[in-house]
Amino acid sequence: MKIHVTYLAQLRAQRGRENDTLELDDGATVRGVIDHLADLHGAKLREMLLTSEGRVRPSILIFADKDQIDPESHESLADGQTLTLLSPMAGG
Amino acid sequence: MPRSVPPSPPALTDEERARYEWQMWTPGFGEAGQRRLKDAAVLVSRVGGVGSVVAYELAAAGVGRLVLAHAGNVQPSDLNRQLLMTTGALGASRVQSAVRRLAELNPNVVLEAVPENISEENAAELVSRVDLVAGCAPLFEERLLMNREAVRQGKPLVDAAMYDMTAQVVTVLPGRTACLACLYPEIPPAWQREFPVFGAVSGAAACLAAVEAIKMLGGVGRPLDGRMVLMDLASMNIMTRQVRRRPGCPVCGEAARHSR
Repeated sequence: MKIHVTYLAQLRAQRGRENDTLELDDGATVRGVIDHLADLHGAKLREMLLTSEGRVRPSILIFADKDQIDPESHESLADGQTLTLLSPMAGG
Repeated sequence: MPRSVPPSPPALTDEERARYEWQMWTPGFGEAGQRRLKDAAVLVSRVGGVGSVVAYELAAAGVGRLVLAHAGNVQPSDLNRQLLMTTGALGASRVQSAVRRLAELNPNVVLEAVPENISEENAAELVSRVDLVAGCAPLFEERLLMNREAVRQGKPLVDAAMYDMTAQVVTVLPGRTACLACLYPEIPPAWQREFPVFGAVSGAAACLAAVEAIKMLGGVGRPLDGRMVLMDLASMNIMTRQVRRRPGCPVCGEAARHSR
């Protein structure tokens, strides 16, 4: 299945691109997507996404299409779905 | 027992009717809405890239009183985005520069200058002076303090923030929508005090935040209600996204409510 990922704010700067399209096994979850990205794109991106205990950072907001979703949800994503990953911003 | 009748908002002068004529043509706003704005007070902290434009728009619209909190003096690197700071004010107080520019724009607005940033010591008192809070500070510590006090005091908070080409606006309606502590239960470790910013990007977030404040204070339109405006200005993709309250939030959750 294909999952489209859009990065915003510091995550975009760290990833160095606006989006990715991932090829994942059917039944992939949000948590699976985050782990996939953390494994593929280096320690700094991993630190932005995951705590030292391996949990998704609570201040990373993840939207599946229009709704915020729980990063630890076991619900399967749908083929072709877009995830938007927003790192916290306080620029003023 | 006599019922207490809320005082009616102050009348407009002829000069104010002329100044605000075009915005009073907005359906559902009118002179009654303008009088509500005149009767309202907003805390803006800080008056930097976002806060300068929020304050400028609110002063232009005729919000009656603005409390402006910002420490420090104007630096050369402020001038690409902090539109209330001027080259002539380099080295002088930021908040005084802001007051001078706003008074030039609209002398009807009462301006209260606080040469301090939001802190544990001043947050509750500054929030208590106003009807609405505009969170525009560059540090999560300050934004989360404003959020905590706004929720405690039951006052709406409009929070506008940006990084690089991404900007967001979220409105906290205490007890009804996600608060900032729901969204950011930790001080994000990767956030840094200095960040890439064009004034046009911080200004875009600021204008939307000012619209939110004007709507809520003036009684027109409907505010973001559990939604976040998210702007990817690199691609001009502007979206709204639902944001969720966090069960057990220490600021707006049930436990926090019962402990007050």
